[in-house]
Amino acid sequence: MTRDKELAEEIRIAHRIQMSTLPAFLPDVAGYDFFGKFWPADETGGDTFDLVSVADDTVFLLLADATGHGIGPALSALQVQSMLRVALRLGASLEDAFRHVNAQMAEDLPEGHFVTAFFGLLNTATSEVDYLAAGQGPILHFREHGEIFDWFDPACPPMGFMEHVQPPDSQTLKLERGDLLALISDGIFEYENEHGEFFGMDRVEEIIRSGRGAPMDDLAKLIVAAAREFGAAAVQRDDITIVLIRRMPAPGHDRHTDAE
Amino acid sequence: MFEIDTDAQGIVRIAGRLSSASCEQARRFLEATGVPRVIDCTDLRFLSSAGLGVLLVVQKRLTDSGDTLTLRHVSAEIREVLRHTGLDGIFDVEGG
Repeated sequence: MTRDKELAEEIRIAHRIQMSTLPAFLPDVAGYDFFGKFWPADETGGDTFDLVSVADDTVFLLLADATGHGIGPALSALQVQSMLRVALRLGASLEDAFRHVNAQMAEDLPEGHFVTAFFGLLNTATSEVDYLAAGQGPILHFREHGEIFDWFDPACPPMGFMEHVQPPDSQTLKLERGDLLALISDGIFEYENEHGEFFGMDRVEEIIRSGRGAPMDDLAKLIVAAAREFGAAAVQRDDITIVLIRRMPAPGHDRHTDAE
Repeated sequence: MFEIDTDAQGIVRIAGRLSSASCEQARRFLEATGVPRVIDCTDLRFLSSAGLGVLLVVQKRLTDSGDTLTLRHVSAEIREVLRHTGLDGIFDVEGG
């Protein structure tokens, strides 16, 4: 096998390994619709996500994005995912998990590199999400009552660029019936067309407003398809990851099915 | 398109797209000219995470001497990028 073919095979193996670290099955919890998927720009990418039960009534949520895309950032993203998952399974607070993972990444990453991450724990009994957004934004909490798009930015810088960063206290949001928590990587918001325009938050809002009654799997595909249509001939420059968590409305109350 | 140079007052100016494609050019320039305390961002149109990394390296150097990097004439779009990445509190950001 020539060296080029060996490299191509190694990259394919790296791709398979990266894909295998993503959740094979999403949590099956009554009253919730979960979705998570990663579309790398190359064979491997710097995004990752997690959606996994870590305890009774507790689902770990994660969207992370390491600087760049390719094998190096893929390893960084995997490292952050693994460390956070283990830390939270062991019962660490979100703040302690951030401090230790940040310190480790500051030691391991090349200078100027970092990893953004929104991570948290959804209590499926109370519908509360305790979270910490470290450089990962914008995050969307869509509130069904009043059709309010509550976009918020991280209160904390990303992980890994500086060893000693004191995180803010973690925050809590409550998912009421019909609400949607959308973790969307910048690969969607910054999807660029040939005129140098970006897909942006407004277009994401339009799609969610009209399509939120659809299964989250379909809604995510609508978002990606719309970004690709917007970009037309432009190649996907950045990794795309979407994590959607919807608390289902009461039976008979979901009238927003424009996307179906 | 990306440009990095110094103006007549010696202020570093970055223009165009600071992304993974232009990072190396920016790094080489800053290594050759020294650590700036101010960067003029008047004509900066796009800033990727790799580009942020270049600015963070500058900030790290300045942190050692107790200084903060000032980003001057930052557009609303670039300010939004800084907010979305939680880095707006790391730099001293002055509006465009």
